[in-house]
Parts: sequence; structure tokens; C-alpha cells
Amino acid sequence: MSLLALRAEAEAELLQRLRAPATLVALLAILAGSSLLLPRDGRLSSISWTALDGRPRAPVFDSTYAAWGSAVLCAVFLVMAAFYLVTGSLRRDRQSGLGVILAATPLSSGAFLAGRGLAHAAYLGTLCLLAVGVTLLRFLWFGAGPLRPVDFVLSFLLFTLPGVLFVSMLTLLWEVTPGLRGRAGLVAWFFAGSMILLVLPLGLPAFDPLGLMRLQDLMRAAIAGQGHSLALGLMVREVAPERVPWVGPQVGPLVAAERLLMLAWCLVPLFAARALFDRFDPARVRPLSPRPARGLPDTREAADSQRAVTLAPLAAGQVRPRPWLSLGAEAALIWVCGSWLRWPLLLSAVAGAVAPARAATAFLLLLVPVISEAAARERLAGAEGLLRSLPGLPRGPVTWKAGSLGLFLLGLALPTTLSLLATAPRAALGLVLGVAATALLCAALGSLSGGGKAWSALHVLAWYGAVNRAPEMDFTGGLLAPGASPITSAGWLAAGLLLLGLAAWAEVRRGAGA
Amino acid sequence: MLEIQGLTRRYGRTLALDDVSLSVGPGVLGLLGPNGAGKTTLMSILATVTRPSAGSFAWEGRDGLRDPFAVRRALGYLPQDFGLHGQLTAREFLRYVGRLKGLSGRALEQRVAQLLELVNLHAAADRRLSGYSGGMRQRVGIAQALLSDPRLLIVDEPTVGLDPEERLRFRNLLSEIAHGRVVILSTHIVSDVEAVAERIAVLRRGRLLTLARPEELLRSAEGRVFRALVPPERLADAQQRLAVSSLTRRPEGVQVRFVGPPEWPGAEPVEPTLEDAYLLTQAAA
Repeated sequence: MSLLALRAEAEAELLQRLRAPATLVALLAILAGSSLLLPRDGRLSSISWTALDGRPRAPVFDSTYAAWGSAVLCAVFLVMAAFYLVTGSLRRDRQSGLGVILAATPLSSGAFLAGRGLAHAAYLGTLCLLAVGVTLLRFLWFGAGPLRPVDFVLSFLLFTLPGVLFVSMLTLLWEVTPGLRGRAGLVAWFFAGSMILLVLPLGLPAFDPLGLMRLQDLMRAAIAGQGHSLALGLMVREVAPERVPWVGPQVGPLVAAERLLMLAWCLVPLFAARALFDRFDPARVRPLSPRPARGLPDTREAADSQRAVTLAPLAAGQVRPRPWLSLGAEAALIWVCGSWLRWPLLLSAVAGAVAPARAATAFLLLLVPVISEAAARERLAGAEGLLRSLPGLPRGPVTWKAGSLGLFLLGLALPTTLSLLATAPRAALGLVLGVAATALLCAALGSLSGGGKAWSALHVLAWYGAVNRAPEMDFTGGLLAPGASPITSAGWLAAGLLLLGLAAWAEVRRGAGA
Repeated sequence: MLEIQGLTRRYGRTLALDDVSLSVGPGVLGLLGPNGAGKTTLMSILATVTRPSAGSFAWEGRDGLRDPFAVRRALGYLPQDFGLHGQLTAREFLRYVGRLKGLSGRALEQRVAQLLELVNLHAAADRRLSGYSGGMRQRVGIAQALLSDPRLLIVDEPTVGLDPEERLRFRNLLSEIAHGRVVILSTHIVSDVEAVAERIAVLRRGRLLTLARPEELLRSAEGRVFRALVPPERLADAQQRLAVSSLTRRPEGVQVRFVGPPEWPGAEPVEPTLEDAYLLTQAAA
């Protein structure tokens, strides 16, 4: 019974994911990524090294390169994006109330979590398989030499699949751990995920679920005597590397056995998740009973009293819907919904008056858990209809959300802006434009995707690029990356306006707009 | 069949359920009480979703806290607020829950088809749940609760969102399936309880106030329900002084129906309803 139930759980969750609109976005991203990130010529290369003569070399686009290049690509996908695609399913069940129906079934918690983890793995595995499929098609189209299916099979089964399973189970652990299962977990993963998957294997070779360390060793062996400084992952070289034939990693029985043994690591997060899982018991997550605000009666007591209540009519003109009032109310709600994370956000915003660049680094990242779901809050709560019935919304929900987010963000950025105005007015202008772009992008992507993940992913990637000195990614116009200017911010703002227009159009199409 | 002993549940400083003990046999037990009375908490504990702070309960002699799976194997549960996988169709969703409950193969397919027919969703069975109305979703919820032919059925506000015809249908269904099974029904619609419940438990602030048959409750209200004609200008005064159960505006004044002592000039006794009896238990508490 348990196996059957486990399969049912995995199937239902997989169907739910595959049919969601977000899957289309993920498929398009995978198609684009697997076409662009595994180039066959030019300065870009996914696997490259420096030859003994000092010049860069890369494998020719043959079957071996296509297969093992896909494995590297999938590993990068698993570290950077996979978590964000599958996380939140337990939170969704908890919030929607489906969780209590599942909790009342005879399915054990372990089987439920294993089923959910397998559904994550099936979904991520499908996306990875698609990436491999696209690479295979590209090889068949313009690749060199004969097809060697064994390379595709070995790279997928021994390297991608254990990685997929491990990330799926680790995501489960994130979803059941207090403190990580909320929005703060999305930010925490960005750092901790890379640490666990990339840094930990450096010090602990027995732990290498993605197989990147082993893959690196095998590839080094493949170029032994021909070169050094092997680079895995997308690299832009100053000179286009010469494409040369390459034997690729040689996988023997010992390596295969080692890779299969790595599957055992999947049990660690699964068992830990089982130990922490509350089986959707509302009593274990419900906060302490809130005290009534000072000066207000306890509503519980008020509801119980048998006092007669009369409703006095409002005087004429007392009800006047005003857009600015709605904007202010929503901005205040964003603050209230920010949980404890709003306080470090406020601290970093205030610190901007003293150290603008340093404070902005923290401030912009902390925005993710605080505002990511603001634009989709009502849809996630199933209260969109209520929103539409309100008379004070300026020109439809998405523009209202964009305005409120703008108000909220400009308010927070005020100390930094004022500080910059005195010393570097251009930087102040860049920041204001960048903050406005952030508000527009957050509102538009939240409205289009019905959640906060799309904007979070874009924002964190842009932030990461900017703090790593990629000027085109610096939407603050130079505060994070030297070389960026207010024109860069204006570009981001234009993109935000474009997406906002698209979101407003989509809103009208589904009957939610003005 | 279901023995409840001193169940208590605290949320911080709030006592949601306070030392509730009762014994429930086959048939429908109706739970009545105002918002915050502890009905949902009690049902959630009996459905093994929430653990109590103190007390215990036993299902067919087995401890529900030590062996929750003994309860879950016999259970059909419809919570008050629930969600569905919007991207699945009703048939897929019921298959899914059915498998989680241990059904498979032909038996599962037949059961799903029967239930879709029963809740009048057979025509929409292959449409995605995201496109369902509130009433349709509620009917899917009812169907999933009945999937495993439960011997213990716990339904929390099951008729919310149903149209009158569907409500009647569900009431009849509940009466039918209650034979030989334990059904616990919580609702604010007193007429629903009156129609199907063999016993009624009234809760208030987490405590069990009364456990009685509907006719016993009605008997206890005899001679304690009145009506009086009140001039409109004295309505506020009447509402302050009386436990009013209904108001009807008439050309000659406002006809007020109230429970408790006849503290209004010209008040005359009337036949009590279960709603009056329920209000009396609350007013007395």
C-alpha cells in the first residue's frame, strides 16, 4: 500500500507542476540555456583548458563534448535554479489547507516526503533530460564524428541523476525546517546551497552528490600531458580557444560504483526532513495568541458578548476612495507583511546614509524575502476577487502594486539617496531609477507568474552579477558595480515598464484589470 | 466506538479546548457552538492532524494518539478550509487521494466514478479544479472524505457554498451513511444538524456545555421562548434587555422573538425551535 501511495503522491505532484504555467517558462529557459551555454565555437566555452603552449583549448563539438558538457550544464542548473523551481510545495499545501486532508490519510510521513521528493526529482530530471535532448539534437545537426550514446547515458545516470535526487531531497529539508521554509529560506539557499553543493565537496571528497569534483578529476586526467588550468562552466576567454579532439572522461567500474554510492547521501536530508516534518499540524506552526492592541477590545471577548450592536450611518463624503490612500495602505501592508526580516532591511536602509554602497548590498538582497510576493499576495491567498471589488485602486491591481512598491522602496532608499545627493548626484539618480525599476519588475513579474519566484530569481541574479562587478547587471546605476551609470538603470527601468505593460495587458485579458 | 477523555488544547495563553470528554457511538453527532468555541480544534484532534495539550481519545479501543494510523485507516475527513491541486482534474485528484488511502485498480476507478456521480460532478470530472466554483470544490471535498468508505467521518462545515438542492442532497446522504458509522458534523446551520443529528454537543469557549438528543434540547426550551411586538423607538432597549433570536418588521411595530425570561410587557410564549434551544444554552453559559 505504501509504495502505491508513494507513487500516487509523486504522480500528483508531478502533474501539478508540469501543468503549471511556470513550467512553460522553465522549458523555454532550459531550451535557451542548453543552446547558448554549450557553444561550439567562439570565445565562449563550457569546458576549456590552457595548453602547454599557453593558448586556450576546448573540445571540438563531438559526441563526448556534447554529453559531458550537458552534465556540467545540468550541475550548474542544479546549483543555481533547481531549488527555486521546486521549493514551496509543502508551503502551498499548508496554506491552501490540502495538507490537513493529506495528514488525515493513512500515508506515513516518511512515504509522503519520499513521494514529494521523488516528484521534485522527476520534474527536475525531466528538465535535465530536456537539456540533454537539446544538446543531442544540436550534435546530430552540426556535431563532429559519430554518436557515442554511452557517454550520454553514463553522464546522465552517474552524474546528473544523483545530483537531481540530492537537490530534491535537500529542498524538502529546506521546506520543513523552521526559519528556512519561509521566504528567508530563498535567500539562505543562494549562499548555503552553493556552500553545500560546491564548497563542501572540496573539503570532504566522500561527499560529492553532484559529482563535480570527480568530473573535474576525470577531465584533468583526459587532458593530462596536453595542458593545465581546466575550467568547467561557462567561460569567456580573451582569445577564442582552439577546438581540438578530446577523449573525455573515462568512467571505469570503480567510478561508477562510487557515483552510485553517492545516492546514499540523498537519505540524509530525507531522514532529517522526516524528523522535522510537522505533518501540517496547525498547532505546531500557529504563533502564540496575539494580544489585542492597546486601547482596543479583545475581539474574542467582543464576539462572545451578547451586547446589542447598532451601526450608525456614515455622513455624506466620509467614504471617498482615493488612489493615493490605496497606495499608502498597500505600502504599509508590505511593511507589516515583512515579518522580522523588515527590521534588518530597515537597518540596512538607514545605514545607507553613512555607507551607501555597502548598505545597498545588504539592502537590495534583503528585499527578496520582504517584497517578492507582494504583487501576487492576493492570488496566492485566493482573494483576488476581493481586490477587484475595491473602488480605490488606481487603474488595475498591477499598476497599484507597482506604485505601492515604488513608494515603499523609495521610502527605504531615502537615506541613501540623500547621502548620495550631497556627494554624487549621478549615483543618486541611478539609485532612484534602479529602485523604480525594481518596483516595476517585482509587480510585473509577480502579476505575470502568480508568485514571487520569477522576480526573486531575476533580482538575485542581477544582484549577484552586480556585486561581482558586471556593470550591465547593476540596476542601481553604479552603486554596486563600477562602470555602470544612470543609463544602465534607465535600461532596467525601460525593461520594467515593458513588462508592466505586458502584465497590465494580461490582467485585462483574464478579467482582473481595470 | 469513539471515547474522548479530557481533551485540552492550548495555543499560547488561549485555551481552545478545555477538558472535553464524551462518548460517541454510531450515528451523527452534531457539533454546535459560536466561532472560537473549539469545534474545529476538536475535529482536528480527532482527525489526528493536531495533537492535544492534554487528554486522549480512543477509536474502537485503540489510543488515537499512540496509534494515529488506526484512526486514519477508518477516517474520512473534510476540514473547514481546504485546497485542491488546481492543475489536476476532479477525477485525477480523487484517484490521488484514493491511492493515499489505500485504494487501487478497478476498485479505485469504480469508487471514484460512483462518488463523482454521487456529488453530481460526473459531467465536470475531467475539468481542472482551478476552474471549479466554490460549491463544486466543496463537493470534491465531500467526495474525497467518502473515498475509503470511512467508519469514522468527520466533516467540518460541509455545506458551506452548496446551493439548497445540493445541501439537501448532502444531508440525505449523511443520514444514509451514518448507519453503523460514527459521523461528526460541525456546522453553524442549525437546521442541518436538526435534520440529521441523533445527538448534539454544544460547545462554548472550548468547553462542552450540553450533550443531548435534539428532542431533549427542544423540551428544555419549552416555555422559555417568547415573542413580543416592540415599537420601533424601543427596539434598541429591547435588544439590550432580551436574548433576541429574530426580528421581523411589521406595519404595527417590530415583532421580536427572544429566549429566556419573559421580561417584556405583552410577551407571549411560542413553540421553540432547535435554534432557540441552542441560543438558550449559550445565554445560560
